[in-house]
This record gives sequence, structure tokens and C-alpha cells, in this order.
Amino acid sequence: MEPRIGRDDVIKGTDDDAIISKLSAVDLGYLDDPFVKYFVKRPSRRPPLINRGSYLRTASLDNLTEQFIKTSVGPSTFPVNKQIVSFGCGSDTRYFNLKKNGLSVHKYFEIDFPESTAKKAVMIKKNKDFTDVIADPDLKLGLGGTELYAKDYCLLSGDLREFTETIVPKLKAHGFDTSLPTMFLSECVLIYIQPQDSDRIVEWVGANMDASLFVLYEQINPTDAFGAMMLRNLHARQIELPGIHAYPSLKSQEERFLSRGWLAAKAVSMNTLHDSIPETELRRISNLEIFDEVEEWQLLAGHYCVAWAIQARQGPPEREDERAQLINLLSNAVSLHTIK
Amino acid sequence: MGSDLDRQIQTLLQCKIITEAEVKELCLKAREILVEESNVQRVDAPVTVCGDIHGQFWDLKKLFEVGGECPKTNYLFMGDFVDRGHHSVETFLLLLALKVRYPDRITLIRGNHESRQITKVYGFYDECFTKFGSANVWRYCCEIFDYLSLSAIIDDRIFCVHGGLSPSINTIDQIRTIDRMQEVPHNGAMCDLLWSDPDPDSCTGWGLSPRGAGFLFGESVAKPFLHNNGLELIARAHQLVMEGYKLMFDDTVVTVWSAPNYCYRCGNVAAILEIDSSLNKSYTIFRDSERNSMASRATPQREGPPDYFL
Repeated sequence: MEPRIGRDDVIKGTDDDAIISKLSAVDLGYLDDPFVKYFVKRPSRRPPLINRGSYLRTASLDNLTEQFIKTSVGPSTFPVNKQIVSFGCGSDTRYFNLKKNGLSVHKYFEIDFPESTAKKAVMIKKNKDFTDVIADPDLKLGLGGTELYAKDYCLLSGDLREFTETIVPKLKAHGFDTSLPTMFLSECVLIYIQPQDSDRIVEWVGANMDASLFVLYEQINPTDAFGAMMLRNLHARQIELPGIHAYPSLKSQEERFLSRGWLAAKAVSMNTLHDSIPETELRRISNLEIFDEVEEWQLLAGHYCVAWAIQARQGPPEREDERAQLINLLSNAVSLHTIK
Repeated sequence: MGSDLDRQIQTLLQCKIITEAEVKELCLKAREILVEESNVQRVDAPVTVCGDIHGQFWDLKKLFEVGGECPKTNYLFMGDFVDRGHHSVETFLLLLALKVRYPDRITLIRGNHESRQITKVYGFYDECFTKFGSANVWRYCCEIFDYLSLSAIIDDRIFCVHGGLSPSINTIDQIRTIDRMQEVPHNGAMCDLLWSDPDPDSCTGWGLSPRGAGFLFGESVAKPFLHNNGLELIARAHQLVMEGYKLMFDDTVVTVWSAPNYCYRCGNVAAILEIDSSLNKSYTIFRDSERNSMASRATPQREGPPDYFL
């Protein structure tokens, strides 16, 4: 087993970096998020291309999540309970923003190292802006303040490298239901653990959930000139990306799901997502600040991808109709992946 | 005074700053020289043409190692001396001091980053404030930016400009009549010269630029411009090229990029374009300096490592 102390601290530090970047994008008007400011002690304005990337990443994943929540089954549109599981959530505020905007699911789970969840749990519990959104009088802290439980929201602590042994039983103990359509979200998370550990998660989800949508965002293309420099620079900051060589391309990102029996998978670079920003929205963000980093942006954006995959478990023949409907639901969720 | 200037050049060559008073005086002298220069400065070959530097001081030193020292080598720098890198102050002041010391051996033309508005976003303003404790040096430098020439012509045959062409300009004479002593405007001929890019995919003349300033110009614009003005080549900078330089439109337009491992992040090589007295062209490629590679390990916050999405 690799040494955990030190390395894990560096990975946790990446959340601070990401959340400062997100606040920078919020403060400049790229994104609307009234919650992120509570997690940043020392705000710092980031360069325009970092702001644009933070915006694009958040907006793309927000949109996929919204589609998943809004989509319904067939013309009958009977309401289906859904779940979201966010891996390595850090200070992510997506649950709060969605719910504030009237979008919620049956259960939203967030999982991270206990050091991260402890800080987040305390922040949420003591701040009325958060508790008003959760709107559950029975909201309570657990496990020495490292976890938080509410009716539709659970912040759980754990190590993703012990997914099947520790995380799954914990999820189930807090109402996780494998029969419900569930979205799994990994925003720059799986790439930080060894491929055999992340593969185990993908395999378990594919084999045990009745219907699931997996969405991930991470780095690709480690071997070209920019990618090699990226790894060198991150290494100098003691950040390693153990997963990047296992899934170095868009194609291999799709294969990581398809080869494990998932029904469909798609990976696109951030350049493709940028090209899909509607003209009015592109004009809006272009007016926020000067952007003179076009070539550098294309290089950087070409080294990040969003991948998604869907899976619906084969059940007994008499439930085949239901499975078809679930596949339909998941397909609808990803068919409109572009930013609104 | 000559010896003072030589001493300042020696200081700057070590990537050390000179005093605010010295900067002020240097700028006054530079202004006297630059005010005499045309919007289309005439340059005689042989000359070595360089693209963006962006405050990468140690890579500029590497450039001088590769291309030869000034004044032994005659240089033309096509703008974007400042912003993005960690040493915009030392980089620009060194080039300016060389200009004052050897006015006929180094030509500096203006890039889109030689602007008050852009330097406030991309680092030069902050760097001046950090290194001198006030914005005075930034103000002196910005005044000099307004005096920098907009373009150059080598032996009446090679047109050099930071960005590219403008739909408002058909002839070189039209550039000569621009009132350049001002902040770079948001549109119009002067803006376009500093902001435009060639578009290899466009067969139709002009296109909108993704930068929000300047235009994209196609082959069908570039070739008639050269023909009508009796020119053979447009040399320009402005765009990162991973291979250091890029020829387009049947070798009628070239992009020269002189900042290796741009922003300590891009992994690219850099190039300079050497033009001999018969206007033969040769490109020399160079990699980043040791000091550039060390930048990612720098500890002070201001010289922090390059950003990624984590």
C-alpha cells in the first residue's frame, strides 16, 4: 500500500485550490453561487482562462445534473425517485444551488475524507443559509462531527479506496437504494486514486445499481508537450495523477465503462463543450473580462474531459419494460448535454 | 551618462531592478528616440526578428545566447514584452535600456499587451506595484508604450507587426497616418494591427476574432495586401505556436513565437527568425532556460506555480 499520509493531504489541498477558483468565477459573474464564499478564507482573483475553465466545468456538470433530475420516463411522466452520489465532494455546493432553484432528488449523498467532511459539516450546520435550504428540523451531525444527515441530504466520511467494504455499507445504512436511478459524480476525484481502486467503483456501480448515470471530469492527454509539462508542474506541487495513464484519451475514458458492461459511454474534451456554449451565453461571459489566452486556453481545455456513461442492470424478463424505460430516462438526461 | 546606462544594463542583465528615478530618466530618454520613429519603422537587413517574450526574462537571456548579443546582432522585437511571466519589469526595462543605448541596433514595436488595460489584468501592473511599492514605474512604462512604433518594414520587402492586418488598411501609407500616441483603442486600424490573427481555415477574407478585438484575415486578404504594397512576407507574433514558428498562405505569412514553455506551462519551443542581407530567412528553435523550468517550483506566492483545474 502506498504511503497515505502526506499524499492524501495534498489531494485534500486541491479542493481549496478548486474552490478559490470557483469563487473567483462567481465574483466576476461567470457563475451564480451564493454558497461558495463561505468555504473560502482568502479569496483571490484568478486569470481569465482559469475563470473560464471553472465556469465551463461547473456549468457543464450542473447541466448534466439538472437534466438527470428533470427527466422523466416516457409520455406518462410518472415521478421517479432519484439519487445522486458525489464522490470526493470537498466543498462542492451543487446540492444547495440545485435545491435553492427548486431542483431536488430523493437523496443526495456526498462522500469525502473525514477531515474534509468535518469542516463542511460544521460550516453547514451553523449557517442559516445552508440549513434553510436543507429545511429539515431533524438535521443532525454524526460520527464525531464528520457526517451530516438530513431527509434528502447525507454528507458521509470515508475513503473511496475502500468503496465496497466501507462506503457501500455506509451508504446503505443511510437509505441508499440500489433500485433507484442514481447519478454518480466524480469531479477530478477518481484520477487521484489508483486505477484498480477506481475500476472497482465503476464495476460495482455497473453491476449493482438497477439504473445509473456516471459523470466524471478529469485530465487527459498526459504525453504530448503540454500534458508532459502539466504532469511535471503538478509533480513539483507533489500532486500526482495515478489514473491519467490508465485513461489517457477520450476513447479510453469511454472504454473504462464499455469494457465493464456499461450500455453507453461518451467522453468529450472541454474544447468541445466550449464550442457548444450558445452564442448569447458566450457573448455574456466574453463581456465579463478580457480574454487574450485563446491558444493557451485551447491547449489547457484539450487536456480536460467530461465523460458520462449509462447502465441499467438486466433483471427478470417480466421487468424488461421497466428497464427499457429507465434506459430511456438516462438517455434523455445526457442527450442535452450542452450548456443552456 | 553613457556609463550610467551601461551600469543599468549590467544590473538589468542580472534580472535586478534599477531605481524608480533611473526608470523615470530612462523613459524620458527613450521617449526622445521613439517619438522620432515612424508608425512603419524602416529596418535594414540583416536583422533577427523575435515574437512574444511576456516577461520570461531568463528565456530572453537564452534568446540572446542563441541569436547573439545586442548590438552585435540587430534585433526587431514584435511586441508583448510584458505580462504573464514573472519578470516583465526586468524584461521591458532591459529591452528599453538597450534601445536607448543602441537605437539603431534594436527595434521595439508595440504588442497588444503594451496597454494600460491589458497590463492591469495580466500581471505587469501588479508586478510593478510589488517590486517598486507604487504604480509609478507602471505609469512611466505605459507612457512609453504609447510612443512605440506600430510596425516595421525590413528592406521594403518584409512587413512586421504584432497581430496582423486590418480591414481599414489597404496600403502601408494608411498606417503611416495613424495617430499612435494613445492607449490601444478597442477597435479601428491601430487596434487591428495589434490584435488580428491569420485564419488558415478561412477562404473568405475577414472573420470575427475569438479574442473580442481585431479580426481574422484569410489568404485572400493577405496575398493582395502583399502584392499591392510590393511586399513578400508578413512576419507577426501574437499567437502561441508549439513549434516556435508557423508559415501560412504559401509562406507569405509567418508567426514567430519567442517565449519557450510559455507561462511555465505550455511545453512549447520558441523561435527567432534570422534574415540575412539578401533577405534569406532561417529559423532557429530554442527551448526554455533552466530558470524557466524552476519557475514551477518557485515558493514566493507571486512567483507561484502555474494554475490548473484541480
